[in-house]
Amino acid sequence: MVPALVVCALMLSAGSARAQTPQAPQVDCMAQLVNCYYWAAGRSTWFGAWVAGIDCELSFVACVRKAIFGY
Amino acid sequence: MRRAALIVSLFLTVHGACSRATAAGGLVVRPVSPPRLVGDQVIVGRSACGGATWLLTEQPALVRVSIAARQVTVHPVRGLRSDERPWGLVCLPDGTLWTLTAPGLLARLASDGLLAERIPLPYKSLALFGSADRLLFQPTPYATGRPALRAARIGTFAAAGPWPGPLTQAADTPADQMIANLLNCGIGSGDYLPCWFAAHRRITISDGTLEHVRTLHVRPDRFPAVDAATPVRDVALAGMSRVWILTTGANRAAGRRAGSWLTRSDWRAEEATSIALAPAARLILWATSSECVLLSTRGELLEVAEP
Repeated sequence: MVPALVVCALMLSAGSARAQTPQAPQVDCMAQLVNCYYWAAGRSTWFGAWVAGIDCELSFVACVRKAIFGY
Repeated sequence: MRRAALIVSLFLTVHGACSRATAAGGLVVRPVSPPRLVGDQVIVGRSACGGATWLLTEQPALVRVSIAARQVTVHPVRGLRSDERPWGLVCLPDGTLWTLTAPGLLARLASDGLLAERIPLPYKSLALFGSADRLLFQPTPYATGRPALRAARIGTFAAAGPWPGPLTQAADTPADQMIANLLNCGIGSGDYLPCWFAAHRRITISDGTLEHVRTLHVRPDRFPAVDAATPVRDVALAGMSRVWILTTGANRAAGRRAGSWLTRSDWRAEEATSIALAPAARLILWATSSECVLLSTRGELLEVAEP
């Protein structure tokens, strides 16, 4: 039950971020984030899913950062 | 707030010169190296010190561009684990080179590219910058309105203190908040470092003290064909009087953002002069008050200076 709620919350977050990052590279990053969130939600505990979700967001920001600030 | 009262806002008005490539008292651009001196790999870190500018590429490779000789030396980075993705590069005054190989892992690179040392951080950092002998970290922005950067010297990471300068931005979700707080910093001068958020037209220059925080407002809307979503591409301070600003063009070069306008101004927003860049520039390599050397999208060095 809890992982399902985490998935819903994280998917809503992803949808909101997608609306604000329409450029192609960032859409790719968003797809990675959504996949990562699904993976995170598969953790066996709520805490594990939460920690994994943070790692997903760090990977997401690294992906977008490269698209924006990579020279 | 006292902090707000201490911030001095300077407004850069660059439209006066932006419509002409070269003007009286203006700037000219010329290549000073052959094309493809530097490869096409995405540059994920840049730091200038000791008569050279160091670049860290995604390959990963450590590239040294000599200022005097304008020569390039490339060393593959060795010793990385498969899950490590370097981001950021800082050259401290003692000549040591530092990067983040993961959000919570600082690494020292030898000048030949060998990963010489790993230091776990007591927090996760989204970025790494440098000011004089201090490393600046950007912790994950879970609070808003706080200094986005924290500063520490080698060996004092647990006691990293807030760096007066850019303040964390608010957003609706954790992912949005990380995007809203994407921060970059340019080439500093002395203790001063210019930093800006990706979507902002505001550059904050700080030396890490509340008394010396300045904010420059750029006017990219005055340029034709500017990427309004990420207007500031790069910034370099030249001494205590000049600042060079590379403005992002609307057109991508090989799918990447690039700078299409270079503006030189003083910190008092006077004598702003701009020049269009063709080819566009990837980043600033080094700058003095009279000249700025850029890396073009063709991999050559471009010198921008007075005629």
